[in-house]
Amino acid sequence: MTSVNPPTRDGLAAAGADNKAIMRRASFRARKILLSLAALGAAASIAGLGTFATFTSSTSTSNTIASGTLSLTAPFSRLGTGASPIAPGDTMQRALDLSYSGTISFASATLTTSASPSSLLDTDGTNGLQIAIDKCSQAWTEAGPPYTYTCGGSISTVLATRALIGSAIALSNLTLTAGSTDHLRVTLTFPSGADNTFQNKSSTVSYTFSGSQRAATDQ
Amino acid sequence: MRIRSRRPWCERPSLRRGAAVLGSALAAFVVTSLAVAGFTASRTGGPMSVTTKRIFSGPRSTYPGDLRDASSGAAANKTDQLDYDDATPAVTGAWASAFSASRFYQIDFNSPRPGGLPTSSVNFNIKYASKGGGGSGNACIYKIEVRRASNDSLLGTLDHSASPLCSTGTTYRVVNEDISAYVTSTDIANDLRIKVFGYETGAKAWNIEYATVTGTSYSSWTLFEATVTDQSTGAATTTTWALANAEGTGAGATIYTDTNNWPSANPSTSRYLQFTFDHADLPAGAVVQSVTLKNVWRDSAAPGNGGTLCNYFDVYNGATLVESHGGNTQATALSCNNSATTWQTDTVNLTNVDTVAEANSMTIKVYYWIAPLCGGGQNPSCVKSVTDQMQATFTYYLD
Repeated sequence: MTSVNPPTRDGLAAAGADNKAIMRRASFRARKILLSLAALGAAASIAGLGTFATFTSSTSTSNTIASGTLSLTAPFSRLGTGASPIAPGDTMQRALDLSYSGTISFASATLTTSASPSSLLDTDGTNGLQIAIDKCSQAWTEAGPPYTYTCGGSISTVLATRALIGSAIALSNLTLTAGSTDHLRVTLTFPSGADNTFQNKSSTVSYTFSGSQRAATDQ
Repeated sequence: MRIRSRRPWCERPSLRRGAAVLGSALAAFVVTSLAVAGFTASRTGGPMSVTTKRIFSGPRSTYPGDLRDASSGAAANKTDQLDYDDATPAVTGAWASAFSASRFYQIDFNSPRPGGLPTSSVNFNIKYASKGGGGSGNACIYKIEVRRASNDSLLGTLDHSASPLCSTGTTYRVVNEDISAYVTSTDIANDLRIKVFGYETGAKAWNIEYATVTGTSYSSWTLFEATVTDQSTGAATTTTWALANAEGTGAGATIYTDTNNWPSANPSTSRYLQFTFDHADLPAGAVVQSVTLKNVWRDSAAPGNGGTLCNYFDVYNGATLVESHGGNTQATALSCNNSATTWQTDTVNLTNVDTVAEANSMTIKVYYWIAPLCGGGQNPSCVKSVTDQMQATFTYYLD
């Protein structure tokens, strides 16, 4: 067991003298290190000058870094074509080409729909309008109006049938690759179970397709 | 003098903890910002306007209020007494001389309107007076109740107890009561009951020239009675318009038996039953998809001896012949029936009735005759027809 006694006045003075000695020694070491570095630097400079005086060579590298673009366009769209008057059981098909026209591919895409003016047609999730989206591996063949579409290639489901209105609805099976285009067919269905309360209703629907960039990679 | 050594900030515990927290927050912010801040793009399509039809396609059935019996060769008015202002009033029982909560005249109306439509200008229209007779007074309406026919629920009351609506003796009074506040949709109009509480100051009967409900849903329409419960005496008597339903019972109040035997061997163009569907009330612009006529009938008695009652019918739009169904021989007749118990149901599509105008003023003339002949010797008996139901179903929509 170690006992600790309070320091005396003489003891404090002695301790102060010790601290000053330590600081002087540290300062002296620092000065020695700096002088050594200066000497090495001077030697290296002299050697370099001597070399430069004999042979010369240089290289200039220009490294341009530019960010890419992420762009979603719809070069062809029938989504602005309305339908009136519709009855229960009716379907409305509208084609849309969704192009990933930037230089950066997408990681995912979503759909947000809204209605203004709104009515029972879009507020009733069961008997109101339902939406489904299909993708054709090539451009849809259009007939009409009223528009209907057939696919000469293969069809995949982008969005299974669901209530029309939704926010950030995940879309599947899209190409998403920069420079590519997905040929989509949006189908709205007015369920046959809609009763007379749906008569003389009107809704105007807007569709917003959104996408976010691919994951970051080493470039 | 105490000398405190100056320690670097990184060796102070409190500052070290603060720095750690700050660093963590900064790191989290940077990570989150990087996750959210990537590129995004969006594209908006539409707007796409979608509007539904004003009236969805569907069948709407009704029956004729106007019936003319020309079985004798001269047309007699056998119209529903409550439907028209035609000097053929319905006669009630004897009322009390003052209001009684147990005395009323109740009318259930037909249901021909497409459902789900808003209504406006809905009125209950009644023309009534004292039937007269010794000691008679004035026919007075004390209050009118508007109810749902299906469950008798009360929609509203038009209370005239403070100042009853009275006729002056046998002089008719016309009352048009606005019931728009209670009948706000065709769903209610199709399920409507009006209950009139009244009295006759001399405790006598009323004449009711007509009692209808009119309104508007894209076009004006009129409802006719389907069933009446006359409880003016305090005891209820219920009758249904003979042509309204196919009860199949043959009970007197549910059928119409023509007044004369039908001709022998051949139909006569002057001997027929005429049914007018003057209140189908299809709105202008409606698209008529189909019209079907149903006639449920039998013989008043079996003709016997190989005889049978046959018929064919013509469809008119006003005076214009639209189409005919069946011929004037037993072989070509629309149908024949030799039974007084088995009902014959003829259901015929009226393909030429394809406009609103034709649907809204459709008249049917049914010609009956006994084949091969009737009357005399061992021949079949000449008989009448009994009609249980005459119904037209209009399938249409309105864009």
